Amino acid sequence: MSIGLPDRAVLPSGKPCAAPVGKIAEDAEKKTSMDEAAFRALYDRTARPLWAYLLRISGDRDVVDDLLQESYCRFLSAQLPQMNHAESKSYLFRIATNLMNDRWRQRKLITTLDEVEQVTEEHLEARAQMRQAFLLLKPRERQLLWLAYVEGSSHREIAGMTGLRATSIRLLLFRARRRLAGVLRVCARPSKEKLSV
Amino acid sequence: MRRLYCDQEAAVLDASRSGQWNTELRQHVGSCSVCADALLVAEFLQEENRLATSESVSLPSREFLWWKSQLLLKHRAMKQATRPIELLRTFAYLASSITLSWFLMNLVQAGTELSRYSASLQYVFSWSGGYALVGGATSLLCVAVGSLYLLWGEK
Repeated sequence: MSIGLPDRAVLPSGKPCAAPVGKIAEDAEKKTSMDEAAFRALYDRTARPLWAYLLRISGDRDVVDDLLQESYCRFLSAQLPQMNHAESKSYLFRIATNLMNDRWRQRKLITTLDEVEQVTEEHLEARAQMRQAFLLLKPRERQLLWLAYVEGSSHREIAGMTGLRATSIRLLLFRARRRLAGVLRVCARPSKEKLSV
Repeated sequence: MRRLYCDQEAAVLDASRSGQWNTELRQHVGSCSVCADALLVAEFLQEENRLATSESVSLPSREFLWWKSQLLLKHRAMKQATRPIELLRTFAYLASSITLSWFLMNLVQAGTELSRYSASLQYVFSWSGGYALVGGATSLLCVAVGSLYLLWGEK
């Protein structure tokens, strides 16, 4: 695919570089970890699950496309060894997780519920409220739960994706699950009962 | 103290995914808080996933992502290829700055009688000629090496 670059690289001063762009481009393509056909296959298999993961964990629809694009670009520009499908997917989720964490650190994502709005029990109704209840959890807890219960990842895989120690995953997962289950039970109660809690 | 896990958890999650429950497992979920929590959370999250993946949103095209990543790689490769030139240019700027400062300092020295009263300044100026020579020579060397690199690249 032509990407419309000039014949020669241009230096910051605006002068052309001696080395022809064609050679540089060839070298660059050699550094890609997979060919285009393999990428298409990977994208078709992972784009939807990754999009769902980013949407539900970030809770911010506006940043999802951006994070998705950045995840794939970083994946493609990383010089990776040969990977099977599961490893590629796992690595992709790891990149996406790190990108989300970076945004939370920079405060570009504000999606813990106590920061968005204080929700009282009267507000907790139906799925929309359950979704908000999910946002009550810390971002890390949301990531752990999603990876475990939606992606079906093992503790070891989750550790690889989140950068946590494999030995602490069980406890963190237990705490997160207990918290979410507690909030979901409140959501599931009839309104009158909720008010009396 | 509550248990962190239950041996039946995997079986409960499998049954939840497949919808194939047996009486024993159902009874177990009723009596085990770990499995009850796991089931509740798993069902909620799987439904959330189903809703999100079935949404009709237009994802970025894979061709665009491939093109974008290739562009990034080429940009990175070009940056790497031009790094020696950039380095030489920086050295040349540095050497030229030193030479120019020597020149200006000499002008100042000639224009004022300050050096007569300052032994330390005189000491500095006595060395500055040597520094200027080294600076000028380095500039020329950088230009020469840079030119050779460019000529070599042309071939």
